[in-house]
Amino acid sequence: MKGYYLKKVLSSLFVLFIIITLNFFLPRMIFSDPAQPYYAGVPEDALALREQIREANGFNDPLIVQYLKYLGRVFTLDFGESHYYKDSVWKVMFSRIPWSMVLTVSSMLISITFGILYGAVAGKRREHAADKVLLWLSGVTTAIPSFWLALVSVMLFAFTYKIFPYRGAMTAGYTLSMNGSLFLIVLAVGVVLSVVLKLLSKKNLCIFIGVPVSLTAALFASVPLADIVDVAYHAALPVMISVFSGIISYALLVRNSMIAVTGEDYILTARAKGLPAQVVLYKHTFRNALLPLITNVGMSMAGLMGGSVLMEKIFSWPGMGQLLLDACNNGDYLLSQAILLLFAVITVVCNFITDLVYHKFDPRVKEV
Amino acid sequence: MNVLEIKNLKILFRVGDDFVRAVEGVDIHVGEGERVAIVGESGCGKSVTGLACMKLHTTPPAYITADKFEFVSHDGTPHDILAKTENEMLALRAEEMAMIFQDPSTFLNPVMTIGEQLDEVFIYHMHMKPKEARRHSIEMMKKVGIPDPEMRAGQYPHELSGGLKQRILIAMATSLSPRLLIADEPTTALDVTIQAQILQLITERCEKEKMSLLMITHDLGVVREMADRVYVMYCGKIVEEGTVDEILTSPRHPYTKALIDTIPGMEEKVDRFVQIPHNVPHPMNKPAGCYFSNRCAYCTDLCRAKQPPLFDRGNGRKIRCYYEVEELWEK
Repeated sequence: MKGYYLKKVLSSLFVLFIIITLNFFLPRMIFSDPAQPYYAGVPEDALALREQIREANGFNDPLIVQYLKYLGRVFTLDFGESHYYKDSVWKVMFSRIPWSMVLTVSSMLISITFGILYGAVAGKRREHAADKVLLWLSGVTTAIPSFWLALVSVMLFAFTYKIFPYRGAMTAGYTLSMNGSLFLIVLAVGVVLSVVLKLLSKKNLCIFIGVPVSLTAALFASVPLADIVDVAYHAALPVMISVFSGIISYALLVRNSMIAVTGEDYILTARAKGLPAQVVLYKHTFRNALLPLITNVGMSMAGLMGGSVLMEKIFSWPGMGQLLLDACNNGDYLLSQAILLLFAVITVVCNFITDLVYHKFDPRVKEV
Repeated sequence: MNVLEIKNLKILFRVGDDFVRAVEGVDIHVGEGERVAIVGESGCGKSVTGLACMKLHTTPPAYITADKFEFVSHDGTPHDILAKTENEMLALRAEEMAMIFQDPSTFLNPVMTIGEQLDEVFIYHMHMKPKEARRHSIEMMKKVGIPDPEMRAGQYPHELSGGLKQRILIAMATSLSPRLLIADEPTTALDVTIQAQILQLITERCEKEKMSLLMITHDLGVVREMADRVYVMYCGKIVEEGTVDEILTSPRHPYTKALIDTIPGMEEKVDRFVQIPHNVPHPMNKPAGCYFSNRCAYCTDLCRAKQPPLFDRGNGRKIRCYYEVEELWEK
């Protein structure tokens, strides 16, 4: 068992190493001179000055030395300063991550909840109306790309009917007046409370419900209500669009595996035991049918902090996807390197967690 | 007294716009404490009959009719199985009738521990608390000869061998000592060395809990070991009925005789195994007359033209053939 996790960790580290290396070479492949973004404001014929800048930033060192230096900086988590924002890369990124999460977390939670419910209904009553509608809708969502849907709904709901705002995350700017310490205190109290409850009642449910509840409570305690309403109003349209295809794809997954599991022999055993239909459905069918969902959710978890580049661009949402796009357009490659690395780390970590969780739910998966 | 009595059982399956007649008018009865076997090739409708006794088919696609389908429970009340709703059946299953299945590796839930799966019977039928149920489960596991039951109860099905898994299924089926135990080819998926042990265990459990046994099998060896009375089924119909000694020593239907002839003997040396020519007819395309006519060595024009009824030859012996055995074997 230990050997398995060690192997997993090592292979994850190897993936990260490759990403870091690619990250290093990317600006050197994109620009004819990797120092180009540093020349801002320096005229093209001021060669001496340019040479000075190159020398000062270490672009005249041999490539291998530059590479090792870059590795060292990554290792010490020093990503430098963004040229465009004139601020530390860390600060710029962390001002955007929560905004991405507002969209992704809410749409993922809604998609999974309703996806499972819809899928279960469709799978249980196969060939009935709900199931036929699901199959038809899955055709629709596959055929219509979500960015097109987003554009059309912006046109329809934001411009023609003016029901929703068409851009941004708030009416003015994107800085929430958030009481950081209060947020942390409420969150900590909530988490500690749910852990204590779990230890007392020995029910994992306490953690599953307690943590999200304390997170919500912390949010409402530390952010003015008017701001929350404002953000929710701005987030409504993008969330609805990603939820639409999200629900359908999760529902289709659950429906298909429900149908597959219902035909399994052990369901017959469960029925032959004289278990009520509800027990057969929840304890036997559902538990097996949700296994493929774990992999799927784990994979989309990786996108939680990354956000969706397309959605954020269309709605001018101040999230990570938008930031990455801007960084690329501005030649701000220190920033884009850091963002890409962050995405890679999140993906690798999420895959690792999925592995661990899957093992909990399916005892057959032990050592691969 | 009969525990189970079925008259003229018909089972149809809807396939698209068509119907497959899986079982066509079968009469079966199982007496108290009696061990009855249904023998036949794959696709003859024997497993379908077993599932129908527990009412485990879903309608559609399965449509079941019978003139009489009566099961008598422990307290002596007769139950009309076909008139029962699914909720009424729940109380009969496991408490009054239980089933052991063919392949122990696919009939246990892979994501639940052995203990959890055994506990369910006690929790939902006897309304026990989980701890108490587990105590009973461990007790049951001891009864079916599972070594170290406490440890096994915490394990998952994939950690157990096929033989152990079948023992678990037997424990599950017999834990509430039902009146009738239906065993659907319980040894087919097992090693030959384990088969005898499992059959021994089933016999033991039946005797101890005074259960009647309905054994569904294609293995005549199993029939000799496990049954008092035998039904031979072919293409959804019973072709011969009698006691195990009569059927195995003096078969009177050409199909039964052919089946017994295919068993290789220990004494004589043979180059080729004996086999029944041709295949079982497709269920949507059965012959017009006797269903066995296209494979029968003694087939006549009468056989090809008209389906023979089940002739009663006395002493509970019934044969679906126009001819007496002496005339046949002479031909």
